[in-house]
Order: sequence, then structure tokens, then C-alpha cells
Amino acid sequence: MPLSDQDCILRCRNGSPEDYRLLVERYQGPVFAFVSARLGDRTLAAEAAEEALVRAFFALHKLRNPAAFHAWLLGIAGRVALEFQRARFRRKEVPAADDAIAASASHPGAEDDDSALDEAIAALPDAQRELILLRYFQNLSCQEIAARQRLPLGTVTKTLSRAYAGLRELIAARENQSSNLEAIS
Amino acid sequence: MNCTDCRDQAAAHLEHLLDPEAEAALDRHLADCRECRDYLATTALLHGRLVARAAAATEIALASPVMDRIQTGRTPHRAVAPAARPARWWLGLGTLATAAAAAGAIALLVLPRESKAGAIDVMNRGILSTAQLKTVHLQGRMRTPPADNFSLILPRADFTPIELWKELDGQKRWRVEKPGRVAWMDGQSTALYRRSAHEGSRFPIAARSAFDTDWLHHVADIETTLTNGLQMAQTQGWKMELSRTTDAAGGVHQLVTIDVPSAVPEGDYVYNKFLPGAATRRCFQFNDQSGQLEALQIYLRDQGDFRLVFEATKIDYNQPFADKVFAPELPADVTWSEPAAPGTPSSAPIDPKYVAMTAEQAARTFLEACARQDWPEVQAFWPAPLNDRRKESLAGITSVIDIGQAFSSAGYPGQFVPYQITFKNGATKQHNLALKKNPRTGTWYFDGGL
Repeated sequence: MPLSDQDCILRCRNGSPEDYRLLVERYQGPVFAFVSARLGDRTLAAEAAEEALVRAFFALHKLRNPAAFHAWLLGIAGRVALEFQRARFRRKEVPAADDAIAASASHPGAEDDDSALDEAIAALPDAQRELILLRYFQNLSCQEIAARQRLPLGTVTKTLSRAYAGLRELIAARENQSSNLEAIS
Repeated sequence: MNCTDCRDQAAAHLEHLLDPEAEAALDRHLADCRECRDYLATTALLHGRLVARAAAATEIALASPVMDRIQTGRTPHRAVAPAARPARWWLGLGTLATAAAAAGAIALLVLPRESKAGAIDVMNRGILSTAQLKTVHLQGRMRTPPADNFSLILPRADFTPIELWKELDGQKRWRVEKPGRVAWMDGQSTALYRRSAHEGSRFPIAARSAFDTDWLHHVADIETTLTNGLQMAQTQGWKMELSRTTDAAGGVHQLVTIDVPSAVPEGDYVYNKFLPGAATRRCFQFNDQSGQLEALQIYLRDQGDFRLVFEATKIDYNQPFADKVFAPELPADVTWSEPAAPGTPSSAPIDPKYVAMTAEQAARTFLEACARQDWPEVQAFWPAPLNDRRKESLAGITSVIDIGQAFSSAGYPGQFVPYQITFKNGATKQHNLALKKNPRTGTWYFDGGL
């Protein structure tokens, strides 16, 4: 059974930085997708994702709840993407005002932005999130996941089904919250 | 089929993994249930949304550049216009010159100027001597219960002997032993035997470490320990000092002291309870002539107090190990289990009542089942097949006085549940039961604390 996020983080904190590799392999896809949607440039997004993953390692000692690593990592990735956008603007590659950059980075709605989905994945229970990452971001079939995780195929498909249900609820809750905020403002 | 069953089959349906009979049953339900039809249609949209999201990340491979930056100690930099990066200081088994340069960089970090030469000497000798090692046999003592977890510390307990045999090349076999348990890897499989219960756990892979023995492997793997310590000193604020001492006989020794901070906040339930993750001072003493590690002490740090919790009393290098070292003699009646399958085997039906339980409910159900010797129910929570010895020990529980509110820890991926129970001899015990969820079954299983 692969190490959990929490196990990896504890091992890193205990002096085994090599154990961070598993976290990088697990989250590079989601982080890249997250920053790519904000930057719209694959080369720049790869740099930003790398930077976010490195910064997260150097800040591991500040992470209070290791079980929330994914959500915490996305927070770092969001800030890095914002820095990259501002730097690009300063080089006048993008004719936009700072406020507009900040707004586009922190609010969903850009054409290919789906941060509601990213945040919902991060909020899933560990076992469900793991299967979503393996199925979609590592592009494994359900049968391959079952073999790799040493789980019955039926358990994989049932857990994925429950992950879908969880994602639907989390996305709906977030979208309700957004519409309430819009109504207030 | 009801709506819950239907929705639990959403993934299998979308992936065309249902057998014809199940697909037909699903179709019959969908024909009569508009809500489920809508549900599956919107789930298919969600599936598409996930595929689209992940497509952006196709073929992204960041592990090498990220790990390279981490291992070379390159700090995070500003995007687009990065500042000049510091020179490489990673300690590897490269040339003497590389090692000397690396050690020099660290000496600048933590040492007064006059100590630089000594630091470089320690590092060079340690690295070169490690490169020639084939085996390590470490005998030591630790303040830990003789039969419990290999990493559990009891600072006020007496010392218990602990021993490690480790191959540093070839099959990299290993064995760790203390009076109540032995763990080993024989090149093909990895196993643990608990003497008092006659229970064993094994799995068919050659693990580099297992069963909470990581910390001992780390201290025996000096090259990794030093390089990781140096790295953590720079990246995570660990304090590392290098010095030289002379003993009464005039012998010169090099000392490397690493202060390892706790991996969990002070006040956390597991704070300073287990050696990995505890706030410790680790003192490595190297022979001035050979450069090899000759002594090691680990002190628990607690509010300015230092308490010796582990020390290596004898370290032998390059001893040839007989094959039987990695095949401990065991009684014939050991009850074996697969640790990857705690609780009910996946092939057996799982009673939904166990899946729906909270940690508190699971703790109460488990302890009450022990009290009335309901072994099928106890087995639902026990991570290995119950044998007669184990049943005999669990049958000592006679009643459950109280179950408290479950709590979690930053250092444990499960829940702790406070309990108070009575035993046949009239004694009572108040402690915390450690429970973990089995990802296969969704049920809680016992993980310690009795």
C-alpha cells in the first residue's frame, strides 16, 4: 500500500526528504492543471508548478494539519501563479492592470479555469481523492488502480462513485456560496 | 436495486465495467427513476470535466527538477527573475574534493571559523568510510517496552536491548530485534513476529524498512543520516554542530550533534512518544583514525531537559552475516497475517453496521465484544487472524466503564478514543485506543493502546 500524504510528510520532517518525491508524483498533475488555468502558458505553468512544489517542501514545518496537504499546496500554488502573472505583467508581456491580474487569479471564471473542481478534489476524504488522482491525473484504468492498490475492482468503482457524489456536493456548496456573495455585493 | 445501489455503480457504469446482468438491473431501475437518470447524466458531465482538467497535466514530470532543487538545497526563488542561486552543497559519494567543498559549505553554516578544518575532516572520513561498508551490526539499548512498537519511547522505563543487522549492498537484507518482537527482510519478503502472541505479519516485497524500524535504519545509514541532517539544517531549521573531543586516554573523537525538532506540535497526544518525530538531540561519535561511527546516543528533549533514550553500545562493520540471521527461528504454531489487509478479508462480506460506526462506537463495540468473548465481533476490528493466545489475553477484559470523545493527532493517521475498562483481577485501566480506518473496507481496526 503506498504511503499516505501524512506518512510522507512525517518522514520528510523526520529527515527523509527523498520521501517528498511521492508527494510530487502524486500532486504534480493537479498543481500543474491549477496554475496552468491561471497562467494560460504551459512552459510558465511548469515553472510555477515546480516552484510551488519546492516552496511547499521548504514550508513543510509550518503545515499544521498534514491531512490537508493538498488544499494547503493549492494555496501556495495560487500565490505562486499570482507572482508569475505579476512578473509577466512587469515585463509588459500582458497588458493588464495589477488588480485585474489579482482578480483573474483569485476568482474562477476564466475560460479554462475550474478551480471549483480543484478545491473540491482537495477537500475529498483521502481514499476518494487518491482514486480520483490515480484515475484522471495519472490516467490509470480502474483495473490498473485495483492491481496497484491491491483492492478489489468493485471497491475501486464504488469508491470512485462516492468520490463523484462528494465532488458534486462540494462543487454545489461552493457555487452556492459564490452566488450568495455575488448577491450581497 | 435502490437509488443508493444505483449511484454506487455510477463509476462502473461510466467505465463499462458492469457485467450484463448488473447493467440490465441498472437499466431497469433507471427506467423507473428519473432522479437517478439525471444523476447519472450529470455524473457523466463531471467525468468529462475531470478528464478535461487532467488533460492539461498530461505528460507533466516535475519529480526530477523538484527533487534536484530540494537535494541541492536551492531555496525557493522569485519567478521569472530568479536571484543568484547558492552553490551546491549536497553531500554525495563523489570525489574527495566535492565532499570537502560540501562540508565546507556546511561548516560555514553552523561552525565557528576555527572548526572548519575539523568539520571537513569528519565529513570526508565519514563519507569515505561509509562508501566501503558492506554490513553494519549495531547493538544498543533503548527506553521502550520489550514487546511493543519498535519506535515507542517510555522515557522513565528501564533500557531494553535492541539490535540491528543490516546489509548495505547486495540484497540489502536486514533484521531488527528486541526481546518481544523481531522484524526482518530476507531479500524477497518482509515480516514481523510478535513473540508473546505467537502472531506474525508478512508481505511479499523486499521493503527497505518496515514495522516502525525506519529510525534505526536511518541511524545505521550514516551517509544518508549526515546528508539528510545537513539538508534539514538548511531547509527546515535543524541545528547541527561539529566538534572534536579527546578522551582520558588521549584518543581523539569527532562529534556531530543534530537537534531534531518535533514533527508534531507540543501538546499533541503523540508528542515525544515515538522516536521518529520526537524532539531529540542525536550525537554521533566518529573514530578519528578510521572515520567510522563508533558511538551514538539519542536524547529526548523536553523543556530544556535531556533524557538518554537510545544508545548504541557496540557497532561492528563488515561482519559476514550467515543466511540464518535473516531467517529467524520461529515456533511452528505462528498465526500469520497480511498487514495490507487489516480487518475483514476483502473477499468476505462486510457488515454495513461496521462501516457506519464512529470511532467511539467502534471502540465501545470492540471492547464490549472482548468482555463477552464474542470473537467473531472482535475479529471485525482485529488486524490479524485471532489465535488462542490473543483470545486468552483479550478475554481478561470484563467490562467497559466509559468511552470518551475521539480525538486526532497531527502525527497519527487515525483516531484515539479514551476508554476505561475493568479486568478479571479487578484492576481498571484508563487509556486511549488507537483506531485506523481500513481503506479497503471502510471499517475501523485496532492499532494499539490496549
